[in-house]
Amino acid sequence: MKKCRYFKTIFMIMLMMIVFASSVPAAETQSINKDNWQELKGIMPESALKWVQTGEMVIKYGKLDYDPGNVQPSWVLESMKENIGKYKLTANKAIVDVSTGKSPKFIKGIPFPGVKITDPDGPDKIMWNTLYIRDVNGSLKTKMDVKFIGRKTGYERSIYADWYSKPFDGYEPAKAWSNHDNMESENQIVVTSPYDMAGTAMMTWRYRTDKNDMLFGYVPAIRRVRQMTPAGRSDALFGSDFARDDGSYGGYDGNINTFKWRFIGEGEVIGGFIGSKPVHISQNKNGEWVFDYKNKDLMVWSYEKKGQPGTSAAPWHVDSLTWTKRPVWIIEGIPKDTYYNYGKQIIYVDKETNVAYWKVIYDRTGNYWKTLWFGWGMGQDETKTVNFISMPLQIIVDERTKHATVQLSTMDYKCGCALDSNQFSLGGFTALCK
Amino acid sequence: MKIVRYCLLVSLSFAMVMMYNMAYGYTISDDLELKGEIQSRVSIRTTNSEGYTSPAISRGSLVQQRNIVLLELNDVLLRPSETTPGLKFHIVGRFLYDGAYDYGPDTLRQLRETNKEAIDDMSKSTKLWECYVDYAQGPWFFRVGKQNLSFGETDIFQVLDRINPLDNTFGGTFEDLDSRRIPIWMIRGNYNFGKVGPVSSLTMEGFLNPGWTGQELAPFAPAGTPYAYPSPPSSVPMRLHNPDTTFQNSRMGARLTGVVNDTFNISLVHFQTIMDTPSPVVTIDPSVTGYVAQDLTYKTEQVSGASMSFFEPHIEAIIRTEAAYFWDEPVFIPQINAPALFGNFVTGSVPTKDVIRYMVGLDKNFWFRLINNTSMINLYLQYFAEKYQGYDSRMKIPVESYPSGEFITQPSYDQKLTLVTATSYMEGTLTPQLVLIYDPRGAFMYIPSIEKSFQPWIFKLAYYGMSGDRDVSVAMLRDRQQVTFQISLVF
Repeated sequence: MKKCRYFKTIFMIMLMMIVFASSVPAAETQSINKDNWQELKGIMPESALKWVQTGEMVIKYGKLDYDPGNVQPSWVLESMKENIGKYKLTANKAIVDVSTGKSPKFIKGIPFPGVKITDPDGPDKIMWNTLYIRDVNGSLKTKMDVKFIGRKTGYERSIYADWYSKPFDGYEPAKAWSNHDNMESENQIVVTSPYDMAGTAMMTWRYRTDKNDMLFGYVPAIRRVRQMTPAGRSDALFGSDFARDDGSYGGYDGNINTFKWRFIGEGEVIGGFIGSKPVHISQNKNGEWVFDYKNKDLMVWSYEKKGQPGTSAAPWHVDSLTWTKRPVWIIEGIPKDTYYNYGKQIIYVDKETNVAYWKVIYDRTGNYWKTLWFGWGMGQDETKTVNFISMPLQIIVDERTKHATVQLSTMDYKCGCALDSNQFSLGGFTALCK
Repeated sequence: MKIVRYCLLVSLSFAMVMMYNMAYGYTISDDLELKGEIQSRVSIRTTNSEGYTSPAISRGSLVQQRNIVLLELNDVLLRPSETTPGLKFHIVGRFLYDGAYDYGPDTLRQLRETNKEAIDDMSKSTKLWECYVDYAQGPWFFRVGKQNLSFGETDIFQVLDRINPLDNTFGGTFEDLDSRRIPIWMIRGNYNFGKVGPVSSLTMEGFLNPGWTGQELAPFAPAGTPYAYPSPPSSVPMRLHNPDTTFQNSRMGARLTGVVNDTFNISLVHFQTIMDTPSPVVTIDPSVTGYVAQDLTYKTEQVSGASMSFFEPHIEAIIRTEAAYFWDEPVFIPQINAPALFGNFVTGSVPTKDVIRYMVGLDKNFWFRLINNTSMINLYLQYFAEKYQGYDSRMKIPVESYPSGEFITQPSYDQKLTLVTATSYMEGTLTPQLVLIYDPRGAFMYIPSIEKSFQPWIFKLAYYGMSGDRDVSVAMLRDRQQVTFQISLVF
C-alpha cells in the first residue's frame, strides 16, 4: 500500500508539472549547438551553420507564440489583397500603375503581394517589397549602437548615432502628407559619440523616380553641410563591416535597378526574432509608438559573458534570439556596377512578412566573404490591433578579418513618429549640426 | 604657480576619465550628457631657422607642447515634433596650455621673458568656448550664443568661409581650419520656404554678431614665436586698433540656399566681416618716441558670393564651385600705407581694391583594391584663384624678403591647387591621409599623417613639409617644417 501511495504521489506531482508546464505561455524551444547542429542542415545558410557546428553560435530554436505574418500594420495586410496585379515594373525596374502606365502618386502597404516564382520580374518585385516594408512603419526615430567586435579581441568600441527617417510611401497616413519633391523617403543619421566623431551627420533624399539620391553631409571639421557623392554604396560605413547598401529590411538599401536579381529558389530557413512574443508597443504623449525593449534579457551578448563557463560562442553571438522556421524566397543579386565592392549576394526574404533573415555576401571573384543576419521585433499594442515591424538588430560577420559589426537599436525605437518635414530641409538639417 | 595649476587640471581630467572609464561620456539623463576630449601635442622642428626667423630655433627643438581640454555639455529641453517646438542648449569649456614656453628650449623660455604678457595670453587660457541655445519650430530655426558659422564649399583655404576669426598663433596653415576658428557671440536664424518653383528646400539664413559690444578678433602670433612670419626686428612701436564698437562694425549677413531641379545645391551670400589680418599704416605721431609708429587696424569688409555643388553621374563625383567678390579690400602699397619709408613724412592711409576669389573642386571616392579592399579612397581636389581688380604694380605683401628687406610682391592673379586624399583601415581605426598644396609660382607643402584610435585613445603622427621659393605663399614658412605627435583621450 505504501508503495502504491508512493507511486500515486509521484504520478500526481508529474501530472501537476505537466499541467503547469502547459500553462506557461513561453514557446517551446530547444538549444541547437555543436552537438546537434545537423538539425539545422538545409534551413540555415552554410556559412552560418558552420558557426553552430563549431560552437560559435548557439540557436534557441522553436516556435513563436504568434504568427509574424499576422503581426503587421493593418494597411500592409490590406495591401496584400488590394495591390495584387495593381502595379508592374518598367524596363528600368521602376514601379508604374498597370492601369495608367504612370508612376503612382502613393502606394499603400507593399506594392507586389503574391509574387510568383514564374514571374520574370519576381525577384525585383520582392526586393521592392523589402524596401516598402520599412516604409510602412512610418517615420522612425531610433538611437543606434554600432558595436565593433573582434573574434579574438571581443567588444572593441561603439559608435552611437541618432536615426530619423520619414517615408512618403507605404505608410497609410503618409498619403495625406505633402510631397512636392516626389520623394520615396528622407532620412538623417547624426553621430553622437565618441567625441571625435560626434556631430558627423548625413541626410539622404531618396526619390520615387530612378534618379540618384541627394546626399548631404555635415562634417564638424569644416562646420558646413556639403553635398556628398551618392556613389560608392558598397563603401564601409564608418569603417565598419557594413557597407552603406547593407541597411534596410531586405538587407539591401540601394536602387533596385543597379542589380540583376534572380530567383535561386524558395524554401524554409530559420529567422531570428526578439523574444517569442510580439514586442509590446505603446503610444507616448506625442502619439509615437514606442517599442518596449527594456528587458535586458532580450539581448545578452556573448562578449559580456567572457570567461564564464559554457561560453564558447563567438563574442558577437546574441544568446536570446528565438529562431523559428520561416518560408522564404532565396534571391541572388549581382551588381551591374563593375566597381561595386561585393560580388553576388544571396538574400533570404520571408514570403509573408517581406523581411530578410540572412544575406550571404561573396567578393567579386566569387569567394565567400560576409554573412549578415537580423533580429526582428514584431510590435503589437495591448489591444492587438496596432502592429509595427522593427529591425532592432543586424549583425554582419566578415570571415576574412574575423570581425563583426552589430547595429543595435533597442535603447530607443519609435515608429509612426510625427516628424516635421522641415527637419529634412537644408535649414532643418543645419539645426541638428554643431 | 600657473604651470602647476594647468598641469593639475590636465592630470585631474585624465584621472577622472580613467577612473570612470567613460569612453562615451556621461549620460546624466536621456536628454543631458557630458562629454569631451583631452588632447596633448608635441611638435619638433625638423629644419634649422633661416632668413629673418628670429630667434633661431635649431632642428630637433621642441616648438609646441599644446594641451587642450574640451568639456561639452548638451541638454535637450524640448524635443520638436510636427506641432511643438524644440529647445536645447550646448556649452563647451576650453582649457589650453602650451608648455613649450615654460619647459621647452631655452630660446622659447627666454622669448617668454621678453614678451611675457602676449605669450602667456597665447599659450594659457580658460574660456567659455561655445555656448548657445537652439530653438526650432516648424520652418523656423534660431541659434543664439557663442558659435561658429561657416559659409561656402572650400577646405584648407577660405573663400566665403570668413565669418569667424581664425587663431593663427599656434600653427597657421599647419592647422585645420576648424581648430583655428574662434567662436563668436551671434544670433542666427533660418526659415525654410520649402519647394518654390524648381527650387527645393529654399532656405533664407541670416546672422548678426553685434559690433556695439566689442568684437572677437583674429590674434596673430607674437614676434619670434614658432609660427610668426619671419620679419627683421623693428624699432618702430606697433599699435593695434580694434574696430569701433558700433552697429556698422558688426559681422552680419544673409544666405539664400536651395536645391535646383533636385540636382544643383546653390547658395547666394552677402555678408560683412572683419578681416583677420589688420591693415598697416605708418603714422607720424609726435607723441611717440621717434615720431613714427606702426598702426595696425582691423577693417571691416563686404563680401558677395555664390556657391554651387552637384553630383556628376558620368564621373561619379561631386563638383564644387564657389566665387566671391570682396568689395574695397584693404591692400598694402608701401608708398601709400607707409610714405615715411620713401622720405615723405606724412601719415599713411589704407588703399583698397576689389578682389575676386574663386574655387573649383572635385570630390571623388574610388576603389583602389590593391591598397585597400574594404574602404574607398576619398579624394578632394581644389583649384583656388584670386584676381585683384585695378591691380597696382606697387602692391606688396607686408612681409619682407630676405636678405633684401624689400616687401614681397603681391601678384595680380594668384592660384593654388590643393589635394586631400584619405582612406581607412582596421575597421576605421587607422586613417592615413595626405594633404598637398601647390602654388605654381614655386611653393609646395605636403602633410602626410596617420591616425590610429584605440578607443578612447587616439594617436596621430603628422609631418609638415614645405619647399620652394621663400617669397611665395606656403613656402614663406619653409624653415618651420615639423613633425607632430598628438595623443587624445575622448569621452
